[in-house]
Amino acid sequence: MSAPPLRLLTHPGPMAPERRESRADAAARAFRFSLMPGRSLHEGLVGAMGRIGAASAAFVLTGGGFARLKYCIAAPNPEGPQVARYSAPIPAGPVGLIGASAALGIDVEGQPIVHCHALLCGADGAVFGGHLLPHEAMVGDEPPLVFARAFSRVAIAQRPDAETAMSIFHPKVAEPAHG
Amino acid sequence: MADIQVEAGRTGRLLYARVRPNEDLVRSIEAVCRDHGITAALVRGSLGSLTEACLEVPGGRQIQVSGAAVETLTLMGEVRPVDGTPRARLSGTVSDADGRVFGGRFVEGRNPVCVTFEVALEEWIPSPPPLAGEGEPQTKEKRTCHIAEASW
Repeated sequence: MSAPPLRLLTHPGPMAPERRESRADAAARAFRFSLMPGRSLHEGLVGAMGRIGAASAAFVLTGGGFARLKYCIAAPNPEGPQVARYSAPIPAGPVGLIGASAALGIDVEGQPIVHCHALLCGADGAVFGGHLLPHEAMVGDEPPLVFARAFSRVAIAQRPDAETAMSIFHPKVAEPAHG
Repeated sequence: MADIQVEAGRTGRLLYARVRPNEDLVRSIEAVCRDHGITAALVRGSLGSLTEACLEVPGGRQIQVSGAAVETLTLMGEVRPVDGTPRARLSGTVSDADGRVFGGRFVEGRNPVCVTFEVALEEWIPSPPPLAGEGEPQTKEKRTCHIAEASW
């Protein structure tokens, strides 16, 4: 049996010739911490990385939970031009955190921005998840554990992307913090 | 009982990669490693969406997850050299546009990126194997393995 053809999408903008971008950092640092009960996911990740002086980082989170949060899944976007959009935020809580990945980057205005996708579970043990709204994910009494890799020489920068007509994270060489 | 093969090593460089639409997730992660001369790596985080997902589930069957887009929720795995070429084995969970969650191993060539896919990869550098007759420098690791073996 041959595999069915892949469904590929046509994005609104010109196709960028480079199909992948990557940067290597030989001076990344590793950290472990817990989020702060009663505070948001954004505050926890930005606060911890601020303390150690990192502007860009990749995180793996597990355990603990959130008292309440909102998450989005993908939704059709028939009006376009983007091929898909986020669904309306879905409220949930209390939820347990099974596993999540997050990135701390720098948004188009130079401010810290957190992006997080998570697998969650409810009180009945059913699993669900998606893109968390980082300011609205409020940590519960038992906070999630975070393993962080902080970049020194790589910056994760959000920038407008012509191909997809969205603002997207991409890696670039970090500018020196001092002079 | 077969011996457990324990590979000692350390981590090296940390990569951050962004993959563009319609590229295959598994092959792109392999290509990113090749771009940097890395033959083995661990996934240290990922964020992204797929146009559709194809997952291999126990028994070898492949399931297709479709939607406007498929969000990846978790992704774990590694890149290992096979005949000198980096090959990725990645498992994880995805959500379809109805919020249903599926899990399995991402099938090579069948997981096109929707809008973007970001992944953090950490280089894995195996230590050279100890020379024969060098003694028992890894006693502690061996003991740990026996405990793990017993619990299986």
